[in-house]
Amino acid sequence: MVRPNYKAVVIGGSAGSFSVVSKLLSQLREDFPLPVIICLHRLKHVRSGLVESIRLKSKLEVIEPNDKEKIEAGKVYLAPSNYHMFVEYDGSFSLSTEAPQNHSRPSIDYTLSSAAYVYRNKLVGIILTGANKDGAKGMKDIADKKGITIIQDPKTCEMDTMPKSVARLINPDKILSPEGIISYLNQLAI
Amino acid sequence: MAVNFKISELRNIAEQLTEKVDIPFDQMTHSFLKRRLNDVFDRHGFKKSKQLIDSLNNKLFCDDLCLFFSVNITELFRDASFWRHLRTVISEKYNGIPFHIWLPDLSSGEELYSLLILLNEIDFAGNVQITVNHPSAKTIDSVKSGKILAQKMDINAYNYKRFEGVKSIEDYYQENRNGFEFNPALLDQVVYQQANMLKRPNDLVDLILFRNSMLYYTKEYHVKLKSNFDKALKSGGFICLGVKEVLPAPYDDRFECVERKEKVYCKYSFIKE
Repeated sequence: MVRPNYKAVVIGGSAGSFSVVSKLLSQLREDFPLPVIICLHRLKHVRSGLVESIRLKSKLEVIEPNDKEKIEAGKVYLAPSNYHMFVEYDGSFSLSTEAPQNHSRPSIDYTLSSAAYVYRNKLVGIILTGANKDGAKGMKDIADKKGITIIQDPKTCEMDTMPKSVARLINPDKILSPEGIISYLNQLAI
Repeated sequence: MAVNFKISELRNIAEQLTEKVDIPFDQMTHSFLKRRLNDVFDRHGFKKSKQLIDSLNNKLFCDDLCLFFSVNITELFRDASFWRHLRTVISEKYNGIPFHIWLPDLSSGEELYSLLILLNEIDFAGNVQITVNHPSAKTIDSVKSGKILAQKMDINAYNYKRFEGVKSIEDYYQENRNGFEFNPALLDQVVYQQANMLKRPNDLVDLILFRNSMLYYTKEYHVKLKSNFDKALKSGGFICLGVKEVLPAPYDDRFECVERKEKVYCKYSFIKE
């Protein structure tokens, strides 16, 4: 395998995104060479369940990181419930209990923007189905740093508000179905 | 409008803030410092870091800064399962024994109010000394006032129910024109120290409640905090962190994680004080 041109993949999603994420992780190559950082809107008072469900089908190790946990290639990181999750310069996560953004904690904007600041043009940002505009600003930050921006094709979304909000702010590099996203990511690993 | 701070500029600001204000800005995580400084610049209309540094000669501005860098958005009984666990620990270990609890970073009142409700419900309130720290006079005054925003009461009531409290949350609050006010009688036993989280109480403590405050500091600073808490804590005492925080390794020569899910650590009772 050649060294990938990117350093991380960051994914945001809300309503309807669980099944897309589940499918994606079940079909990503086992030797996927990048960290996959996922921020999904979730019930704030249900601490367990989601990560266990995602693990069931994933070929990669799925972790809900503790504060200051190191980010490693080939692992999937899911933002914990009721915490914001940020990428730090030293290649670790930091968490926060600050006020919700766009009524959400974790906030997709926060995760995406911090990842954009750290990985710059070596980042792939993906927004999946969802019912609010969280994530749009984060995707703009990724685009501003010349990272790759992908939105789920609104025609394939259970709720298309989230990807459409991104498309109102920027011209995404790619608009793909879930299968198209999987295929694109697997190409990154070749 | 977000300011595009360079890393070197952030470091320089943090060092100067640390010199003037009683908070270790130079040990804050990069993303937190950047985010909060952006907000400070927005609020005050600063364009250059020199404007911020010049304002540090104003004592009121410095106190505001302490307040602003405190993460005071929390709720009563956040992580209700932790509070249920704490209730069991306290009931079993300190039944009829006087004990001392320290909250090194009282960013907002909810953590303290939750603790006071818990102690009241197990009838231990007369048995305990509570010390709380915060460098901002404004924060301490706000906590002493017992004020809580009306819009938080729904979530507070929901969390209290999940905590399995024996009364009703309304029993602890009075509604007034400004929102809700915590029962002032319960706050009587609290000792307030206007100081940062490194200033230990004069006596050793039995329990340190420090949940979700380490999140905003670097891993290196966590080591310093751990050492400070070790010095403050009696043998056999407990440190309670947030559910996604960890005591920096190695710690197993002095502490044992006694509740992994809720991040409760116990200092070995055989360690000499």
